[in-house]
Amino acid sequence: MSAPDDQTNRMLNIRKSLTYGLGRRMTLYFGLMIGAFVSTLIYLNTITQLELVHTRFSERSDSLGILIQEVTLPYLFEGRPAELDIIYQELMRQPDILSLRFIDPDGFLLVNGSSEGNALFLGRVDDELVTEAITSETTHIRNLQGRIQVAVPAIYGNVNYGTIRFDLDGTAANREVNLVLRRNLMFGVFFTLTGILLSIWISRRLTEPLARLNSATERAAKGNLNQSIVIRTNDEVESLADSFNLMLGNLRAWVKSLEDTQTKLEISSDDLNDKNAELQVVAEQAKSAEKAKSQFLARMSHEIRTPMNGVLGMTELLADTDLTNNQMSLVDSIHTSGSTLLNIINDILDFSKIDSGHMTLRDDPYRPTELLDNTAQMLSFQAGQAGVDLITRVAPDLPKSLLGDESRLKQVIINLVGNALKFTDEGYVLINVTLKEDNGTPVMQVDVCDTGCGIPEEKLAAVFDQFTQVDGSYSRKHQGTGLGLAIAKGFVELMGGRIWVKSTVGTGTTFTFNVPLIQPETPLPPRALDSADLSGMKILVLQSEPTALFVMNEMMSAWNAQVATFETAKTGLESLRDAQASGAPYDVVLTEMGMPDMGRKDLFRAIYEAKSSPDTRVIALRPMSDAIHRTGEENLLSNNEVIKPVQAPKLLEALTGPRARDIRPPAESTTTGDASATNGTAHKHVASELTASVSDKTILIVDDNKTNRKLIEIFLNRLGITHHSASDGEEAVEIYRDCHPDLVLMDVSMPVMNGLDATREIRRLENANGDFQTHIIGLTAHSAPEDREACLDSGMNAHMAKPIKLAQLKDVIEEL
Amino acid sequence: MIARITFCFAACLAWINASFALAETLNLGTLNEGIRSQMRVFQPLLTYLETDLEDSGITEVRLVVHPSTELMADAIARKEVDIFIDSPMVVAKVAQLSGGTPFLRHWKDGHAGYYTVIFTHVNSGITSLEDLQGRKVALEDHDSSSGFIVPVHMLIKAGLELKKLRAPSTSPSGNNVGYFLTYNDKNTMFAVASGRADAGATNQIRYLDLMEARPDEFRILAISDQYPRSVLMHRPGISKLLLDELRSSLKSMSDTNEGRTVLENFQNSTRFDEFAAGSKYTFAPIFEILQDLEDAGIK
Repeated sequence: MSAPDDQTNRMLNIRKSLTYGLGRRMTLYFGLMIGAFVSTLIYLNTITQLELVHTRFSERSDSLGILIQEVTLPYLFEGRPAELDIIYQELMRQPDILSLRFIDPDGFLLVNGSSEGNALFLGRVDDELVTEAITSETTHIRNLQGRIQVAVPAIYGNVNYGTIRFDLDGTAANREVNLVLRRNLMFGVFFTLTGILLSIWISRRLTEPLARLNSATERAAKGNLNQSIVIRTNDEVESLADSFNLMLGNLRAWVKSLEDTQTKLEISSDDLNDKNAELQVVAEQAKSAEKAKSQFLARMSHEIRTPMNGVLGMTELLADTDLTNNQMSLVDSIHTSGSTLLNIINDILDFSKIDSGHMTLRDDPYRPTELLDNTAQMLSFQAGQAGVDLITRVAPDLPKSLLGDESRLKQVIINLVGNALKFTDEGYVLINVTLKEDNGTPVMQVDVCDTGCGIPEEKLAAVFDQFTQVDGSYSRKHQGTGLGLAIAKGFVELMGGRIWVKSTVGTGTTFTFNVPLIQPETPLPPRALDSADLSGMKILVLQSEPTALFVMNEMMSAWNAQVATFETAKTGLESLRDAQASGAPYDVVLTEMGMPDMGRKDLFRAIYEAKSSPDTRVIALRPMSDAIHRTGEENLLSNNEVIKPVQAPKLLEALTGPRARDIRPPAESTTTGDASATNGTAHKHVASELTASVSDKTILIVDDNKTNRKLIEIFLNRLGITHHSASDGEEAVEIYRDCHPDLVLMDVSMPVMNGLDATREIRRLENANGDFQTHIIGLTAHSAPEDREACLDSGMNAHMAKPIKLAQLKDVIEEL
Repeated sequence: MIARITFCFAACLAWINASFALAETLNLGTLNEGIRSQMRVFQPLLTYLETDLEDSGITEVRLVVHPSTELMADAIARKEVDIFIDSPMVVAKVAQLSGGTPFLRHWKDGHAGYYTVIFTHVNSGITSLEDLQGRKVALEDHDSSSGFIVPVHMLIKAGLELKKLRAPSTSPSGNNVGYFLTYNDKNTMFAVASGRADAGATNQIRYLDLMEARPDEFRILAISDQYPRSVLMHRPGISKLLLDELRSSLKSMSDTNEGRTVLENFQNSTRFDEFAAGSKYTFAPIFEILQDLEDAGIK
């Protein structure tokens, strides 16, 4: 703080301390008022008295001047000024007359009242006052150094006889002035002091009751309520004191009431503490219950999933036998119901983990295109069954490698797409992955758009709530737990992103979520796909859905192909013919299996006729369901086919790979038409694929569940693979010592010795004996990251979630 | 018893008589119009003499003022005035009328004697007394030595004929020298300075003052012989013892500080002393002047 600020603060403090208190302030104000009043009166009185003094001396001067003039003039008339000496000397005997002279009009001294004066008779007198008096012909008075100098012109008629010049003793006037000043000053001081004393007395008299009241208030403020104050001033202060006493009385009563209340509150507080303690116990119990619930859920899911694995596996095996159509239909229902039940259990488990905060995420590099392709692949069957096109798109500017939990992202997309497919009867479901910014942060945004029935606006806010479905009718029509979207939301928020929905009833719904875009320090190696070059390849695309056409065009254009897209068969065929006629035929015709304006057979026949050139390759875009139920004749419609949803690697392979077969035009008429083959035929076909190869490897099946063991045993028997079985880890280690299997399918949760410990023991034995490392795949009920990590940490090579897909198992065996 | 009472009565009468004989009053006289102003002038001297002559039986010294020589001479003749103080011409006139005798010279302003100056304004065109014919002359009064008696005598001796004017504004007739009385030497100077008179007469001391006040404005036409400044005259028949005591007291005044102070306050006097050439010799020409004036019909 600067010096001037200090000084200002100091002055303010002094002023504050000087004016603190009503008494001081009243004294100050009254004193100032009286002082100002007295000063004004004294000043006016002084002015008046001084004026009177001056007037008196002025009148004295005038009268003396007149007297002297009256005396002087007769002598001057007679020419005898000398006689005036005596008169003037006599006049000068008056004490206030210091000098008296008469000066003729020419300035010569004629009469001098002072006998001892040095002035000579008829001597010239230089006196400014005389000159002024002569000039102005009026009396001039001047007060100079205690002398009142007066010059009176002696004029009679029009004749100026000279000037009477006399000095009066001004000290008398000064004395009177001083006397007046002193007296008035004395009066002023006296009255001011009296006024101040009076004001002090009055202020004390007025403020003393207030001071007492103030003291009483301070005592009351410090807690002394047992007092009363008696003031008898017959004014407002007395009334205030009465009110104060009344207030104290009320305060005493209120304090007593407060104390009572406080006592009650203390009692209540004690009760509350007891309740809190009880609540804490209850909370602990609730936590324990919650933990128990989680454990129960985990255990229950495990316990349910284990037999469900058996059910589903056995169902698959059953379906692989010779069954009638009705039997196959029933087996399908069993498999579907079992799968649904398993999904429900998985959802409940996921939600339970998210809800309890036990869900953990991985941070691994992944390719967004692979994520989307794999996810779409998983949903392709469901999409095909729904009769809805599943279109995927990855924006070209999205980095090829990202960091995140691919499996959870996949799960979110599956949940959203699965939800979209449920509510979309026709049209398409688009999964669009783009690079965006959210609040300045780059994010990967995934839009799942459908052309379904839409969600009413009032329901939008609740779609992410757990166990919520849009309405009862939907619930009835579309099965589900209502946890899918809540789980998706939980995962997205866990990944630091956000999720939202927009919908228009009758038009469709778009679920969107984004997650922070994090690129790995070491990107994954580029794929051949990323550097594909189809320069010079002319491709005609026939798809009725404009969105699908756009995505297809964008994808192949990125490979530098010349792409022409058509939404109708008619326009596409015209272009095909024109190109053929112009000598620049298309290299590839990529077409749907049917177009709205032309049926499947007519379409392919027309393509066959229009292309005419055998070099033009025909690639069919076939739905998954169509691929399962296709007939042998249909295989000859195209040189290659790509199962929808279109995956870039598969499409590129179809475009650049060898022709799978030659084509021929479909017959004019057919008995089978477009009808699908029976399910039994399809399943048999799939099963036959699984039995296509055999192996000489030895496999150890370790599972405490007999059904699971049985399922795998049957499967391996069909494949003709040697296998052993163990019901716990200890038994597995024993078998390992005896036969050194090539592959161990190790259940994790088992009695006696769990799978992790058994794996560690096997690895220990291998290290000890210098044996080759047995490939051990852990089998767990769920593919949670922590489960996977636990497996890998124990020494396992891979991890597989139950239920085991037989095809997946076949792939593993083949890779051995 | 009767004899005793008679003796006591006689003794009382003798004592009362003796007391009256010892309680003598000395009266000093002077010519003037106003007793008050003269009392103020004479008071220091009166007091001094009253004290100094106490041993000589003088219990009181009083001042007697009369406006004219005739009245003063009568008062002296009636023994109402013991000592008369004035200019020599006036004293001479009173002495002629009363039989008194001048006995001491009175110094004033440090001068034992003085002379008369007849002067005029330099612009008057008058250069000699003869030029005053048909002109007006301002004179003091008949009892003034330097202001009237001496200058009139000088004009007469110059062969001029004087004629008193009824008023100062009146012009003289013919070659006569008209004069009017101013009754004060300052008035005389004022009359000449203001042009009321063509010339005036005063003593040399006043004239020197005038010359100092207004130098080069006036011109001297004639200067008289020197005469005593002031003189003291005693009445005829005064006690020789008292006269001696008085003479002694006055002459010794200048010897003491007290006396000098009294002298200074009394008309700025310097001292009292004897006439250097004796009273008779000093006053012989003065009496001649008075005779000449009488002969000329001027009183």
